[in-house]
Amino acid sequence: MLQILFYIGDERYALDSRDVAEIVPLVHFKEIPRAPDYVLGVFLYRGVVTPALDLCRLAGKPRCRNLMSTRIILVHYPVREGQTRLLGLVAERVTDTAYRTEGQVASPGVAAKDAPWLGGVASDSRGLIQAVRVGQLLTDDVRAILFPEEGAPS
Amino acid sequence: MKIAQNSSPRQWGLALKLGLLMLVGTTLIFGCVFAYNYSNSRRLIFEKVQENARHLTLATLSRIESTLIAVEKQPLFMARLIEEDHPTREELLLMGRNAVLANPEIYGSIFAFEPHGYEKGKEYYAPYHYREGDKTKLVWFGSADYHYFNLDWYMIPRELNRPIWTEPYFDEGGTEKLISTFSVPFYRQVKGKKTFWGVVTADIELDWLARLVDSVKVLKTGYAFLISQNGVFVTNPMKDLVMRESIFDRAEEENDLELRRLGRDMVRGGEGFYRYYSRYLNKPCWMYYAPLHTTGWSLVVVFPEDELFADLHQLSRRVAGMGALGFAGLIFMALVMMRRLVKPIAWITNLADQMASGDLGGAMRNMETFERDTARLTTREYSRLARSFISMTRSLYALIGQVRQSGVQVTETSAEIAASARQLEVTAAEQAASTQEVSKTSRGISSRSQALVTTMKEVSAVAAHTAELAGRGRSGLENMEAGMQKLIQATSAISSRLSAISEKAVSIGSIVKTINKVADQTNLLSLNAGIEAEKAGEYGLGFSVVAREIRRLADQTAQATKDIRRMVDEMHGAVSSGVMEMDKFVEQVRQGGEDVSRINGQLGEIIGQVRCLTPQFDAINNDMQAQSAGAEQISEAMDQLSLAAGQIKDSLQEFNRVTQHLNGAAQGLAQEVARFRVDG
Repeated sequence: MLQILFYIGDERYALDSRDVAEIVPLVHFKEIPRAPDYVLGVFLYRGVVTPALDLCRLAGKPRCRNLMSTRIILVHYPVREGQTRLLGLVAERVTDTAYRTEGQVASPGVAAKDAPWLGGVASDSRGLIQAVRVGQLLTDDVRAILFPEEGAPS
Repeated sequence: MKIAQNSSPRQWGLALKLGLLMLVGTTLIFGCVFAYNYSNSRRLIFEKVQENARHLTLATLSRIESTLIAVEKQPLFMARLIEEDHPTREELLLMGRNAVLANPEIYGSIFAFEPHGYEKGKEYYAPYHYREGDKTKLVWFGSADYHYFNLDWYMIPRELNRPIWTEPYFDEGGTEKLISTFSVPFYRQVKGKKTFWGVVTADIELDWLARLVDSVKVLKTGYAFLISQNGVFVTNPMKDLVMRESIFDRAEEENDLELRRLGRDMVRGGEGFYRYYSRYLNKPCWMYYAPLHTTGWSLVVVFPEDELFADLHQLSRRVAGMGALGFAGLIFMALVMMRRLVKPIAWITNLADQMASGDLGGAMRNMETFERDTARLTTREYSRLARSFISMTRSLYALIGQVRQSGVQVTETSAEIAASARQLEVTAAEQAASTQEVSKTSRGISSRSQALVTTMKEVSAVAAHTAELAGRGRSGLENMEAGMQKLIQATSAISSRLSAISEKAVSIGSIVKTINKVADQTNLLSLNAGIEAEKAGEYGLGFSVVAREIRRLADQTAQATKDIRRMVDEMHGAVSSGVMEMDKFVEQVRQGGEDVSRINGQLGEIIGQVRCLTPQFDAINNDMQAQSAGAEQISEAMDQLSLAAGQIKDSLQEFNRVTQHLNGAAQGLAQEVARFRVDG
């Protein structure tokens, strides 16, 4: 299993490469008024209007800095059974990958009620890496804002 | 006294001399008389004292002796009684008791018989009566512990067959007192032969004897003591010595050979008068000793020397006092006589002194008093001396008056001549002085001109030297200026090169940025490639490895560009600061160049001015030399004039000296005469 590694603040997090469509450089986002602050807005990806989240803000930290390694990770967000929509996730220092088997990932041990998207924890020589669950990223009302045509999730 | 007025310290006055002579003579005579008197009186008094001492000693001895003879009589009487009457036991005891009671001198008495002598079977028979207060006590002597047969008072009369006085002893048998015993042997007829039967004794207490001897008063502090046949002290004011020490012990203790000799003489029964040092009185004393014929003891009487000779000393003091009084009277009389003898001489001397000091008038005035005084003189020699002195004074007074008048006339004439000559001399001297003054001044001008010429030459030389130095400085400055120009050019070249480097550094920076961007793109590409390869599953494995390698390269590139960037930034900074320093330096060099140029100009001006000076100096120099020569000529002429004036002055001085000589002679005469003040 290939993981894409990135940073929120000083902590390392990982996304399963199977959820990832592509990684692209940072672009300008069209803001969505009255959306939660971690919603950066929308941008055009290969002709498709795609919403984007700021993972730093989602995790309760300041906005991601505008660095060369701050990139948009496009993930397949499941909206219905067997159907996914692209969702942009902005994170810092998206430059590395790692191979990890399922057995190497342990349960997080603690569960934050407001952050159901935090998954299992693995470790390497530089410390702990927490997985991010793509399916749990959006609450229902936000999903309704971002993907209004898809209706309520199953 | 006035006579000693003009004499030196060594010369004494006549009165003092005569007085001293008399005093010394009288002192010598008086001293001789006093010494003879003292020694004679001392001898006489000593003889008298010795006689007195002998009498005192013998009187004391006879007092003691009479008492002792009284004591002796009693036992002698009792011995006869026993030998003739053979008294019964009761009679014997009564006799002993009465002997003690009747004789106050006797302390105790004993009848001691030979063993078994009085009664058969009774070894000891010796009743002893002794005094206790007003009564007597009886003790029976003789026991196994007390063998009286061996004691001195018993044994010695038996052996010698005559009565004896024993040495003083402590009576251990009865009374424990210090006693001496007179012991008389008595005898009986046994088979027609006179046989020793026993002794009868009389004891005297020594306290009694000591009291007797001590009661002898000798002068004030003198004393007397008794010594026994062996030289032991029987009585002595030093109670410690009594019965403990002998006169020989004392002699031994004080290492006094003389005392030992005396002691031997005393024991032999000698008599004498000796001087010795008494330890008891702690002063020199005389002792008179004589034997006590009854007991064989000796009485010694001690006289302190000072008390013995007290009369002599008193007499001497009186004689000395009278001598001193007489002496004082004698001195007084001698002084009075001397004054009277010397007075007329003093008068004449005073008058002669007054004349010698020149006060003839004063002397003439005193003459009348003198005549009156000398008229009273009784001595023929003095009155003749006075008369001749008066006539001599009068003649002298007249003579001096005449001499004086002549002297005054001579002095006046000579003074006038001297005054004229001095006037002339002063005038000549003034002329010479003025000439010399002028000569000196013109010589001064000449020498000052010479000095000025020399100074001008020196100044000229210095100016030339200055011009030369300035010229040299100027060429050095020109060289410096050229060097500065070159320096400015070189620094400008460096500055422009630094600017070029700075520009290059900026362009390197932009290139590095581009490389960085490319590396970032490559990284992104490799990430996406990795994702794609993962999606391709098994087929994408090789591609995935490639993607990873690419990403690694991109990372390294990014790292390298980061280093380059840092280096380029540093270089850029260094170059910028270098450019700034260079600009500052160039500015300073330019400033220096300007300064050098300015100094160069100033030096040029100095040189020009100095060159202008030289010809002026030469002109002044020539003038000065001409002036100096002129002054020298004037000086020479003046010197000649001065020489002539000096010669005139010398001649005048010679004349003046002769006149002064004359004047001095006249004044000397006047002075000599003036000493005698006729007017007074």
